[in-house]
Amino acid sequence: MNIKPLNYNFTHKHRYKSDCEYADPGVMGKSAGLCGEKRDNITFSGSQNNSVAAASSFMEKILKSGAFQWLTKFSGKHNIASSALIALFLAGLLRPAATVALPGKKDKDDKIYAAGHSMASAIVGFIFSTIVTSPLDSGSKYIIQDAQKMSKADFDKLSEAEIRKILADQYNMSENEIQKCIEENKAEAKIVRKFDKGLKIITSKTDKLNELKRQLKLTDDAAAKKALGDQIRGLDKHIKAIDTTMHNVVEWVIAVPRAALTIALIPLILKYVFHLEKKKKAQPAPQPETVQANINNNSKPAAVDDSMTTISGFMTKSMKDFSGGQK
Amino acid sequence: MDVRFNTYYNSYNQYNKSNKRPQAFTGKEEAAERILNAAENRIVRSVTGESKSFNSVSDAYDNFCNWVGKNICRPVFDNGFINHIADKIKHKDNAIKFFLIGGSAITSGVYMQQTLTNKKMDKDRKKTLAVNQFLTFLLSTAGALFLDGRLKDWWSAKKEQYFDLNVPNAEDIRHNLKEKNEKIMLRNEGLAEVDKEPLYTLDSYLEKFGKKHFIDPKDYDNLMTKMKGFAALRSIIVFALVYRFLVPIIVTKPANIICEKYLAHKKAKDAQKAQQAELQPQNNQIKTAA
Repeated sequence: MNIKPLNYNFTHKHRYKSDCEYADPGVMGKSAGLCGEKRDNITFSGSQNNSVAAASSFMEKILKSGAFQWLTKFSGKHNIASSALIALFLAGLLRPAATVALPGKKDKDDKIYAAGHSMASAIVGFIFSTIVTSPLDSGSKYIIQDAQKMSKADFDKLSEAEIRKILADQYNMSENEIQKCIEENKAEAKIVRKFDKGLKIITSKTDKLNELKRQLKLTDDAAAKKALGDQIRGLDKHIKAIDTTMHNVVEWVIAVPRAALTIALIPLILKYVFHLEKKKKAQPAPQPETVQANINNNSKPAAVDDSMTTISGFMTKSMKDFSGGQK
Repeated sequence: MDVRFNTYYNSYNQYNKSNKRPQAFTGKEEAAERILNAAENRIVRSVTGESKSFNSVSDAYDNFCNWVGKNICRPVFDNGFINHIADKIKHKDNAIKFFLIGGSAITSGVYMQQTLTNKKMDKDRKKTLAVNQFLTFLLSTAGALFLDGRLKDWWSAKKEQYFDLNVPNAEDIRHNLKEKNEKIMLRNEGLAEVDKEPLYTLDSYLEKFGKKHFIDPKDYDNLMTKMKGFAALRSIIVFALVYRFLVPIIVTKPANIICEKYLAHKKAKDAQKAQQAELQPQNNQIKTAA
């Protein structure tokens, strides 16, 4: 008897099915060893020289890196936040470095100010985008997934065999789990959507899609099958496009408040975080009344005037002071 | 006989969950599964260090997000406008770029509006700056679209490479995809172009048949999210690079020089006009005296 402990099975490689596992379950049932041999061949195939040469490729290293994998996953889940993250790197790190490194000694102060401005704008943009869009992304995903489920009326038309098939195919449940689910009358809760008055723009299409799929099963005519297939594909694409739109249209909704907040917060961030302040022209000496007022209000910083004590006042002032610039 | 001690409990568990044919222990499988699940939960908790308080925070955040979905996203997004936009972009490649352009147009519009309504600035300078901002937006958008288009094929190739490098059973998937396409090509032989069945791309194949290649559905979902994210990253990186780095660095200096020159030219012209206006009454006086 040949006993092999599968210690290497801790790697994630063995969480994927190889060809022999799904193609012919009969073979798999008789000899799991065959599948194992195939796995071994897949895992350790190829000469060492080839693999070393391949790994040395810079692009391959990036594509395989954990950081890049995290970025692709983050980007897949949160489009806007990942866009803000890339902007944070470019406008918060590369652009300030490039701005300061640009030739020209005359406008050194302006360059430092521009670099600080760029960093502040990137930071404000990233924080605002992430805080606002993350719950919206997750919330949208929740109701979109629910809207793509079946209506109660459609569920009632299903036979038990069809319910079993849906649970196995769409919910990856084993025979035992399906049996348990049906016995405990939990299949409806799993398959049917919670909010029947949910996202109508998706639910209407999901119901139509289910109807078309039913018709497709019943028809034998090739031309009708093709027409139905085209309609199903079209509806599928439309539902996916709604998903994309809902996740990304937030960019338009938050653009105005984000721009306003960026304009409003940049002077404060520049001053208190980066200790940068645009040099102002010489101003006349303060009037005695103003000095007195500042002494009375010494709990507030002298630089922050009364209009800044409320957010709206501060934002209005900062917006008035805004003299243009890049994002 | 080849017997293997499968020390990876999760592999066994996932295997039995997703396959109709349990691997072994058919007599006591429910009890075995219960024990394995308990062990799995204990080990996962000890490895990830997830405490009850962390779970409650996570649950609270999930509940908050669900509340946002029901009470904000549903009433705000369930309308004809979203449906119309989705209809327009459903056949577009990487539709995310249109949202990035729209967002940038709105942001640039706000900046321009703020510039034009700024009372502290000189009227001419305001107009010049606003035009400068508008032209910068146009130039950035055109540049980003151009670069995005040029990178499309290269990025698709890299996406396939990413798939090959990171999915251990990529070879099996590609083999099945090839077989499916060969069958379709055989069926398509002799048919008119309109009647031909479309061939599967890697993306469309994964979408339709990908699930069966993975024991754990979470692995499949992860892969699909990553592939979707990879595709979106092209436009995200290109637009951020052009809008937030290249154009501000390249354009600002020449734009300032042009702006200063224009203002100097305008000032000189105004001075000339003022001089002429001053000379006009003197000439009239000379004519009247004559």
